[in-house]
Amino acid sequence: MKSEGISENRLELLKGINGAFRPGVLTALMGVSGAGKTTLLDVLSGRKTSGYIEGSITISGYPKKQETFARISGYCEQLDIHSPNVTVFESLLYSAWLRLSPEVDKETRKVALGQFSFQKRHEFHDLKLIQIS
Amino acid sequence: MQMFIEEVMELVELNSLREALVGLPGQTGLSTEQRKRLTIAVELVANPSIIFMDEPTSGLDARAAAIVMRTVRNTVDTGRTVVCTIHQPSIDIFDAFDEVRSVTVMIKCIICVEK
Repeated sequence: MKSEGISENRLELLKGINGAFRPGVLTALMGVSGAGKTTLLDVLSGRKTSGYIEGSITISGYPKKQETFARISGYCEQLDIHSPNVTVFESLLYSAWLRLSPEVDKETRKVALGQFSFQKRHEFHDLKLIQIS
Repeated sequence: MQMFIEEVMELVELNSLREALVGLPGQTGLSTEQRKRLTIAVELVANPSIIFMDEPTSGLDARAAAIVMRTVRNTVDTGRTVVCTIHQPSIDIFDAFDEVRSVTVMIKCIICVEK
């Protein structure tokens, strides 16, 4: 790229992005190849391990805290990586064991069962605006 | 936790494959589309409020994509926030979305289109 006249060592891929994603609404993120769709998701979910991430990411005006965000978010990457020698049920069981917090006791689980879809959701209903600057 | 997993399996329609071995991609076990649904399920059992999906329908044929989109729809209907990236979607897949945001190279903002 240097020979094509690009003198910088670093390329700016994403900057000043604002967006609102609403609960219960399926949102598509569209763009041509190389527009930065995957990069944006990688950065938001905290999976980007290479390159530089500078500035701040805010969610509903509050700075994003990765430890908290990892608990309340999921990220299905393009490549489906799974252990070949376990069953479907075991795959889910291991994920649940490793990712649900230890405080999720029997009682909570029972409650979560009945209202699985909506109970916890309400706490995050104001989780709307994601901003990178 | 067991019941919780059952609920997720129902949501992504993996009940019948419960005891199926995952296997190696393209060789044994689950098909590409079933694998994709397993990926979604693996994320769902962590009970997230917001889920990002990177091109969930890419590399799938029309039927497989429709099945995956149906499970994505089921997930949205539980009240979660779901964001998917898509690339050259078919009209059927495009229609399944409620909102579209477009990313342009070196974006200044995300253009929002309310359908």
